Amino acid sequence: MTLSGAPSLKRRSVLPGFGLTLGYAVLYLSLIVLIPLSALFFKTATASWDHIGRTLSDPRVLNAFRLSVGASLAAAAVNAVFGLAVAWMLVRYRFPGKRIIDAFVDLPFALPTAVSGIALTAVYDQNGWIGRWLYAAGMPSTNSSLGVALALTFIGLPFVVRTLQPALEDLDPEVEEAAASLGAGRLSTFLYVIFPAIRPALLTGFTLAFARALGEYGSVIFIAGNMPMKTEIVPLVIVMKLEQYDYTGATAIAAAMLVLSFVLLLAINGLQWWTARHRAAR
Amino acid sequence: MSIQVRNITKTFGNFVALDRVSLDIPDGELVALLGPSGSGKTTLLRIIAGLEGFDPYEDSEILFDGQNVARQNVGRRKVGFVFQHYALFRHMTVFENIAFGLRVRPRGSRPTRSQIRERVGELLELIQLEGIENRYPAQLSGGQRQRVALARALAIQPQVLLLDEPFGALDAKVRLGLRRWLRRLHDEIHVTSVFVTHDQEEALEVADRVVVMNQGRIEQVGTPDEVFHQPANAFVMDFLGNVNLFRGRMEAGRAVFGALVFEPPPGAVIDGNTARLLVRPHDLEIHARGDGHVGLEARITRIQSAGPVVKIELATDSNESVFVELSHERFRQRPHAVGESVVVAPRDSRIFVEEYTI
Amino acid sequence: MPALSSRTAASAAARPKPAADDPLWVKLLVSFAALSFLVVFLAVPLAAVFVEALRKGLAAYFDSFRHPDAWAAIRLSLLVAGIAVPLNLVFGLAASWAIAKFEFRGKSVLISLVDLPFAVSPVIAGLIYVLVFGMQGWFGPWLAAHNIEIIFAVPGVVLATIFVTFPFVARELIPLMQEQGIEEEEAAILLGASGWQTFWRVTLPNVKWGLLYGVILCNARALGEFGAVSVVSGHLRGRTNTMPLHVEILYNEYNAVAAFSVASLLALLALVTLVLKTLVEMRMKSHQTEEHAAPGGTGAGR
Repeated sequence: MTLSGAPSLKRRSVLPGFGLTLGYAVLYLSLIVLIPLSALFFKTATASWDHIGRTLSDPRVLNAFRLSVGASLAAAAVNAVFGLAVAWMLVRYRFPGKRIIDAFVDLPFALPTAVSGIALTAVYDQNGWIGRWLYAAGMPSTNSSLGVALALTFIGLPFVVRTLQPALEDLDPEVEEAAASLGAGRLSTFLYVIFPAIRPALLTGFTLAFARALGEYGSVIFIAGNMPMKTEIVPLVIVMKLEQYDYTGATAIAAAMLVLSFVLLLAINGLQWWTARHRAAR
Repeated sequence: MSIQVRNITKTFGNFVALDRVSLDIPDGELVALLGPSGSGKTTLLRIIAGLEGFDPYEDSEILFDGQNVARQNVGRRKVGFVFQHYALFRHMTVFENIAFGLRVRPRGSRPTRSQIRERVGELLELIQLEGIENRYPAQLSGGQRQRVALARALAIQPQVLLLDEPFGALDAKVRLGLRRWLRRLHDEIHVTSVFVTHDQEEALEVADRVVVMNQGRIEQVGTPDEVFHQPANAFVMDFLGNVNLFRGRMEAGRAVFGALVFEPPPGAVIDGNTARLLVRPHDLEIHARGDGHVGLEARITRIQSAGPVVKIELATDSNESVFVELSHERFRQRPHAVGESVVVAPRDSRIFVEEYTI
Repeated sequence: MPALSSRTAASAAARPKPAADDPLWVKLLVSFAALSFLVVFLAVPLAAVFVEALRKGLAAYFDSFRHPDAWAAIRLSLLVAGIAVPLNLVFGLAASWAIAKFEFRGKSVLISLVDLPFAVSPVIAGLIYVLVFGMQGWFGPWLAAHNIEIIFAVPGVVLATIFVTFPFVARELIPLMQEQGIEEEEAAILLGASGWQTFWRVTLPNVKWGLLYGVILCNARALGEFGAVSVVSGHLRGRTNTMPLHVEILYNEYNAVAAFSVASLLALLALVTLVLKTLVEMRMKSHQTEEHAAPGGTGAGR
C-alpha cells in the first residue's frame, strides 16, 4: 500500500472553482492593495534616514501628530460616553421613531466627508447656529483644535453605537434579574454586572473610532482652518508635502501613520479574539 | 446497484477517520452504518457519495456494480444523498426543491416542463405531502423537511440512496413513524440504500444488514439478528443494547468470574488473560440464596416496575452494579423486595477473552 | 422619603416591573443625553446643508447645476462608481466563495488582508498610487513615454476609489457564506448541477440581500470619497473633478450656495442610502427569524 499523489493546499471538495476564485481574489488583492501599499515601504526604505529623521522631527509635523492623536482621543472618548447613551436608548427603550433614529446613526458613514466638512463648518463657525453660542462662551469652534475634535466626533459616532448595540442585545435579562433578586440596586447592577459585560465592545468601538479619526481628512480640513503649528492634522501635512513634490517626506509621514494604524488594528483584532474566547468560555 | 468499498483509509491530519475499511453492499439492500460518534460512519458515507476524498493508496477503490467511480464526476454517480439537516434549498419551494435535479440537466436530457411536473407530483404522492408544494422549507416541520429531502434525492432516480443520520434531528415520536415509513418505502422502490445512525434500535428495526463501526474500523457486518445475538466482540455486544459486564481471569483453561466458571470460546485460552463476561439484563436470572443455584451473590437496591419490564438494580459484594430485567409475569410469580440478598446467574452470556483490556 | 417609596411600592404591586427596566428619571436623562448628542452632531449639520443651499432661493439652487463643470463632476462620479462597484462586487464574490466554501492554509491571513484598506487613511490610499504611477513613481517615466495618464487623470481617480471601497462587498459576503455552510451546494452538485448552476441557483439567491447591502455601502462610499481622490485627481475642472471635489472647489471660491447645492445632492444620496440600507437590514432580519421560528424546525437552528 503506497501513497500516491502530493498533499494539496486545500482539502478535497466536490465544489468547483477554488483555484479560479482564490487565484483571482489574490491577484486583485495584490494589484489593488498589496503592491501599491508596498510601494510606500520601498520608498521609505530607499530614502535616507537623515531625510526621514528631519521630516519626522520637524516641529510642524510633530505638532500635527500631537493634534491628530489628541483630538482623535478626545473625540473617541466623547463618542464612548454619548455612544453608550445612544446605544442604551436604542436597545432598551421603546419609543416612536426609534427605527428612524437607529438608521440615522449611520449618517456619518453615508455622508461624503466633504459634505460633512462644509456642513459642520457652517454650523460651528462664528455665525453658525451652534458656533455663535460657543464663540460667545469664549470657545472658538472653528479654526481651532476644538473644531478638529468636533469633526472627528461626528465621523466616529457610528462606531461606538454599532459595536455596543449587539453587545447590549446579547445581555441576558435573567442575569440582571438575578442581580436584582440578590438585592443589587440598578446602579450597582450596571456597574458590576452590565458594564463588565459590555466593556470589550466599548473598548473596540473606542479604538475603531480613534483609528478612523486618525486618518480622517475631508471632514476636518474645512473646519480646522489649517493654520501651521496650530490646526494642521497629519493627513493634511501629507497632502501638503505632496503638493510641494516632497515625495520622500510625504511617504515617511504616511509610513509612520500606517504603522500606527496597524498597531491599532492588531489591538482591535486581539481584543475581538479575546472577547470571543471569553464568550466561548462562558 | 451493488457497492464495493476496498481498503479505504481517510486521515484528517493526525486523526485516522477510516482505517483500511472494506465493505460489500449487495444490490437492493438497505444497510445501516451503526457506530458511536467519531467511529467514521459519516465519513464512509460521504466517501461513497463522492463528497469526500480518501487517502490515495494504490489498492483503495470504490466500485459501483464493479465499476471504479473514484475518478467519476460526482454529479454523474447518480447518488441520492439525504443530509442530516436536510440541506433543502431555503429560497426554493418544495416543488422547486424536488424538481432541481431534473431542471439542471443538460438541455438534451432535460425532461419537459410537463414531465417534470408529473414526476414531482408522483414523488409528492410517494412522500404523502401533496398540496404543500408551494411552501418554503422554513414553513415545514422537521418530519416534512426530511421527506422533501428524500423526494429531492429520489427525483434523479438514483442508483444508490445514501442517508446521513436521517432521523437524528427529529423528536422521538416523529422518528418512530418515519423509520417505519422508510422501511416500507424501501420495500417498494428497492434501491440500494445506506444510512448512518448512532441509534442501535433504529439500525436493528430498519436495516436488512447492519455494519457496526468503531474508531475507523468495521467491527461486524451482519443481519440484525446476527449482530444482536452473535456479536463478534465485546464492543458490538455493548453497543447493541444494555449489558452487564463482569471481569474475570483465565485460570486453568477456564474463564472464572467469582463463583461462575465457564468454558471459554475457542482460541485465546492463555492463563492470566483478562476475560470479560457480557450478559444482557434480560438474560440474567435472580434466585433466592441457598436454593442451590450457582451465581454471583448480590443485594437488591432498587426495583422499578413501571414500564414494559421490571427493572431491578443490584449491588454485588464488591459493590458493582448489576441490572436485571424480568417480565411482569415472572416478577408476579416470584416477587422480590429491596434489600433482599439473592444469587444472580446468567441464562445466556458471551465471554470475550482479550490479551489486553481496552 | 416615605411618601416616594410607598408610591413606588404601590405602582410595583399594580404592575410587576421587570428588573431590567430603568427608573423614569434615568430613562429621561439617558434619552436626553443621547438625543441632544444626535441632534447637535447629526441633525443640525444635515439641516444646515439644505438651508445653506436654499439660502438664495430655489432659482439660485437650480442654477448651481446648470454649470457644465457641475455636470461633468456628476458624470465622473457616476462613471467612477460604475467601474469600482462592479469590480469590487466580482472580487467580493470570488473571495467569499474561496474563503467560505473551502478549507485552506493562510485563510485567516487572507480575511485580514481583505479588510486592510479600511485601516489606511484615504490620503495614504491616494499617495500609494502616486508612488506607483506618478512622475517620480515606479511606472511614471514609462507611462509618460507611452502617453498614458493615470495620476491626475480619470484612471487614478478610479483606482483610488476602488482601493477605499475594496472591502465592502467581500466583508458582507464572507461571514454570511461561512454561516450558510456548503451542504446546499453539495446537495446541488450531487443532484447533477454544474458549478455555475450551483452558484447561480443556490449560492447567489441565498446571499442576495447581503450582496445588495454590500453594494449599497460600496456605492455610497464610491460616490462620496474625497481624501483619496483628492490626492490623485489633480483637481482639473471638468475633467478629473468628482462631485465631492467640485464641492470643495466651489466652497474655496466662496461660492457657498453652489457648493451646498451640490452637497445637498450628495446628502440626498446619503439619505437614500440610509433608507435602502435599513430596508435591506429589515429584510435580512425577517429572513433569519423566519428560519429560526419554523414550526418543529429542530434542524433549522444550526
